[in-house]
Amino acid sequence: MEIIKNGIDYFFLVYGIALFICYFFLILFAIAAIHKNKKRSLFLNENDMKGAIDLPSISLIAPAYNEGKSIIINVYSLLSIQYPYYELIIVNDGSKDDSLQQLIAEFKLEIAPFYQSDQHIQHATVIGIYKSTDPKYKHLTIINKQNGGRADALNCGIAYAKTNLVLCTDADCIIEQDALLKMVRPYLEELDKEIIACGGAIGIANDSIIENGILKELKIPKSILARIQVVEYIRAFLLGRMAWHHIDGLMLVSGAFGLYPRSRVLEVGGFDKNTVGEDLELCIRLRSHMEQLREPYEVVYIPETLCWTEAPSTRKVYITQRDRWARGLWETIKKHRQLFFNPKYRTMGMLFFPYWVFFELGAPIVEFLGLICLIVLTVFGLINWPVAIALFVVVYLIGCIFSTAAILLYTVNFKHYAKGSMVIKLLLAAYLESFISHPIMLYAEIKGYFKKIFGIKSTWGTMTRKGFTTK
Amino acid sequence: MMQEQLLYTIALGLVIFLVFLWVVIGYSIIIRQSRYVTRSKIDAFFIQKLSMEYAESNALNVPTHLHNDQTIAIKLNNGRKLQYASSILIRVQDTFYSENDNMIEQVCKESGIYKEINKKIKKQNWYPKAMAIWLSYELDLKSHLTCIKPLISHKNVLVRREAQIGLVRFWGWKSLKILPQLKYPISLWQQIRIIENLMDYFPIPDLTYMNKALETQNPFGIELLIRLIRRFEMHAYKNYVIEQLAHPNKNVSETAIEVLETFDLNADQLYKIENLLTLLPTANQPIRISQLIALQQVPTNKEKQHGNN
Repeated sequence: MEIIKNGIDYFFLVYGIALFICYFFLILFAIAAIHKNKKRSLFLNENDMKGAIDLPSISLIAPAYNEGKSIIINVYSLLSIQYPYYELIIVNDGSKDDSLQQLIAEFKLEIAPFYQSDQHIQHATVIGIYKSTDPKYKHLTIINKQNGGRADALNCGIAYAKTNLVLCTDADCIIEQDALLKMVRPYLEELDKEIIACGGAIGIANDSIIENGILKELKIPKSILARIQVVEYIRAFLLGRMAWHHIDGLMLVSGAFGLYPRSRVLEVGGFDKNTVGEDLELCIRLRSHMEQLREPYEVVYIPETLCWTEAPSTRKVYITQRDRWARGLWETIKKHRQLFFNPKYRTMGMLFFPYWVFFELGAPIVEFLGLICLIVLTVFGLINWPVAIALFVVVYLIGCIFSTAAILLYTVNFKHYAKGSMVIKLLLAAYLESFISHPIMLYAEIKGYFKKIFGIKSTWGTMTRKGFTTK
Repeated sequence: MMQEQLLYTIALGLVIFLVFLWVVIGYSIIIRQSRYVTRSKIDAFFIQKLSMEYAESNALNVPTHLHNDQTIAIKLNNGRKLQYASSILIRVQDTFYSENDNMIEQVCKESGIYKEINKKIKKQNWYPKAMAIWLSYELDLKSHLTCIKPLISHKNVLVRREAQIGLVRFWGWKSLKILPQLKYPISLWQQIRIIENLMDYFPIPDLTYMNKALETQNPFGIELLIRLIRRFEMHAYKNYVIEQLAHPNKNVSETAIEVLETFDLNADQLYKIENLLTLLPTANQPIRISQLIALQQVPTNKEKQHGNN
């Protein structure tokens, strides 16, 4: 009994220490990456490219499903983006509401002649393509298609796009005016490595003021759950992604805001319709493809917040979202399991993918097992409570330090949360995370895994949103 | 007991570190506010300086209070302040016209910017060096050209890039004569900056240097030349672009196709392209070139615009 208990103790201790060491190094890499990015951005003034004619053209693809409440304001927001060679493709994914009728009326749309889409990727049947009769909206294309899910709608948009690059986003995202000028920079700077994907930070804009589709005043969300997610996003984007980008190990570009070379996406067959984690899956597939081709490549990340979204503010929606993310992760890891410690895929196979298996997929499982052990050992009276409490305090404080470091890095480098009162609210939210959102997240993740293990069918899930405050 | 004590000692250390992070956050907020005050001072200083220079050089009466108000003094002792001060002057230079060509240079000298840039251009560290080169050409400080010229083949990509752009800014088309000697790659960003600088400051192409530049074997240099041919509509060089369709570098041949799509081609040129189809290096190019030929043969008023817009 004692041996088993010791074995369990050491397993959790070693796992915890390994995880903290990884996080510690991620912070160091993130600091280095932010510093480097800040220096380089001085020489990449987006004003210099506004008049240039040699910029790569970009299609912004936004799938919309039953977005009738906000579709008009969101399309106006997406149309106001500054970029000289840009087309906006809204893919109406078989909405059951009046989204399409609203779009037709507001933007004076007319059925446009069908043209042959690229045959490399499959998608549900297209019912009609619409273009505006008003020259003001000549960049706008609406594709009306049968319902096939988000990945299918994105594939359809990519197939019909005619540009060098495609930016995949959601119709309900608020994108910064200069976002494309900033996102395209890595593609302009590439020399010896091809950029196969570029992601930008996503911020949370619950309760903020949106005017004409533009974020006018950023506010801290009123709901504590959404507020905690602000910290979570800062930590994930600024510490996590920035660090992975620094060591060429970035495996995920968020589905809400990712820029890809269209030719490469077509080469790999577009987004996978059979997973709910299509963004992670595409990124891993693109990387694997480049590894197989033995061509030098890079997945890059821009630390500036260029896209704003609404985070779930109720427990129910939060669980739905995290359950879906967990299932997406499970499906992707399972699909690409051949990468696991596969030297053919070099560092991706030997280091980055195993990290995702052990610490992204594995962490909720280990935590859940830890809780079970805690209950069992408590029942058998085998817990040394004073030591357990002291250990909890240490682990909690380490978590607080990571969150505080993320907030510090954000405060130093970006202006969004510059007021003292905002920072204090974020810090308090960070310190409450372990007690409020983390247990819910763990529950949702385990629920997602449970569904996958026992083959329980589940869909994307309904993401009911409150909507932004608009003026 | 021992374990417990050890854990609480670690916890104490973590608390101290956490408090330290709070202090740094607080400090960064205060610093940001003080930076705002400093920037206001720099703004005031340059408004005064530029107003006086402008009034004097355009034979206007200088308001007496501008002469009297010498209380504002600034010290551009760090990169951030220097960059901010310079950005004001760059914006002024881009927006205002003055009879005095040397107005900005004069203000740079009087405010200490010139000296700071001079110091930084000689530094070993790539960042201040590249920043100083960038500021030199943006502020049109021609006297720095002698320091910039040797840096066009510097080992650091940004120093090298800024030096090459600087040379274009000061020399214009003449700078293209160095193109055949350049061995390093030239990013699309740099190509855009070179083209836009030539467009803004030297809008009439000098074909003598253009012809010399055509000797380059660097694929990135060829790509730049093809883009220049399009931007300046140098129709006499269409044959050069057509020849590049068969270039072994995929980017070069793709750029050539893109550029030819925006030009009207005659029967001879189309015949030449058709002949080149047999020599093409990559699988996807023949299709694109066939499309190009088909596009050129459509007898309509094609919209000759870049991209799809």
